[in-house]
Amino acid sequence: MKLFIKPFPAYVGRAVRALAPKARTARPTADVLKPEIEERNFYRQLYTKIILWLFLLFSVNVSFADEPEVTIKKSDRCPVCGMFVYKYPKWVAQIMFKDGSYYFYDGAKDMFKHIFDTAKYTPGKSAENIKAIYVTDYYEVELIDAKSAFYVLGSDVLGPMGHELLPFKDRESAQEFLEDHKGKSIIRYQDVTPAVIESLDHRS
Amino acid sequence: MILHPTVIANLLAAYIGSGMVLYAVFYGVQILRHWDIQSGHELQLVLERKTYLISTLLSYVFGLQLLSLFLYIFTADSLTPLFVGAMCAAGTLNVDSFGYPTLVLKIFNFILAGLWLVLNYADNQGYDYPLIKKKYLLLAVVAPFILLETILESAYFLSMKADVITSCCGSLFSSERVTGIGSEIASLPALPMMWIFYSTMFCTLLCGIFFYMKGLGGYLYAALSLLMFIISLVSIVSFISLYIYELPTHHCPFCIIMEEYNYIGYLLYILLFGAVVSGIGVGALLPFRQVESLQAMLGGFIRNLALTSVILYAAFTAMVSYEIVSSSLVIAYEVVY
Repeated sequence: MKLFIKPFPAYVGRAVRALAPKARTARPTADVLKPEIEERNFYRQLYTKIILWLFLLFSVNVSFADEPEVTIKKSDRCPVCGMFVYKYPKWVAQIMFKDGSYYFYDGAKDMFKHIFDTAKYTPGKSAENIKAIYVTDYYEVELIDAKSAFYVLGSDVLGPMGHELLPFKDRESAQEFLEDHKGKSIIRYQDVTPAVIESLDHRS
Repeated sequence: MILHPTVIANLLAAYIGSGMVLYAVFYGVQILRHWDIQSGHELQLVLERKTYLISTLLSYVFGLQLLSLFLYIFTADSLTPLFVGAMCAAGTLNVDSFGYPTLVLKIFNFILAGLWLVLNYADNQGYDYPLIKKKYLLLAVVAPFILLETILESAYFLSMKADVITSCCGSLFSSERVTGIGSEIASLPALPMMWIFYSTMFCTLLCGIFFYMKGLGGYLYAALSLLMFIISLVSIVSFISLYIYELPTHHCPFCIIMEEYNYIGYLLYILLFGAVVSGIGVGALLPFRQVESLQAMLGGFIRNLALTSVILYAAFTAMVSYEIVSSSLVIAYEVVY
């Protein structure tokens, strides 16, 4: 999730200008300058609000700065199986190519199929041109880097496409899931081979 | 069994239809055996009165039969979220071994029911029940298939279990699988298939227009329209679907009926089924052109049927061509899987 800060709107500048010089002038009698005080209070409140909002925006922005851009459109389909991905947000995986194109998958399994045979599903593209790969952490439901993830095999949790690799961001949560859901093994990204994927498809 | 409103609707429609057909067949057989328009026998008078009831009843039942094909597909599509691995009707139909046989039978019965309606309409135009034996003979042929369909459909819905992992259409209709008719059709090369589709369609339309103008070649048109129907179904799996999905590997003939594709599949299938029924109807009615009581109207009716069929096929082709032209998918060379 990437949020961006809009340039300051015009009234922010006006508010700053209105506040700054007047703060230094001597306090005039209340009666005469009542409207001006009211105006100043208004801008002061506005100023505080803006700062608060900026702070909020900034903090959100910082925490998600390195995350991939997840804007799944209703029309996005898994290039491997053709499923509409927006229906299965918990299972989304994503590959970004160097040319800026990106694909969503309805599970890590289909994502690996695409990696293993990129030209078949997307003619003209190759696995070497992949910039980044993300999978959804099963517990946290947020996108994590696929290459550093831990995958649980053989559990009783099924994805939209049946047996799946369940991605976790650290070994502890993967181990916890394995114990809770009768998982068989935990593997890393580099251990996933076409044979592993094949065996998932053929489990009944 | 899964108690879903659409499942109940399907089964109810099947049981009502079968019950009515059984009732109709009972009298149909008597008509086949004892019908004699010259006789004033009591049985003949009863049969003459019954045939009005039965033909009205069957018009509705077979009308329902035509609808039930689409209801069945719709049901399979709407049950999709209940099954792991299913993403459209293809996966749901694969849940147990009765799904696809039922579908095939439904398509077959759709055509037979359509033909019966055509025959019935023609028969009702003559004052002396000119086609009565033919239409009840056809009913006797159709009835076992309708009963078999009901049995298979019940078996399909009753043996459905929600904990089954079914196959997604992506794997059912892919060239990777070695077996299965779906994957065999899917692995047909798209470009040659496109040529076959367009050239056969051109011949069919030409033949239909020629028959409409000159009244010749009616049987040829009937045969061509059946052939065209099969070629069109194969083409949908082979290349039309690719253009609609804009994915080079996705061949499913069921995903096109989904909301995400603007229900385009229903439109395509309605055009196609309408075209084949009216096309074959031409061939079915041609032998009776010389029947005395039908001479005045039958020729015109047959030509109208041919025209309907030609228009529906033309609309189907126009729809398909529009999808191909407006699609962002480009099939170049043999990069199609």
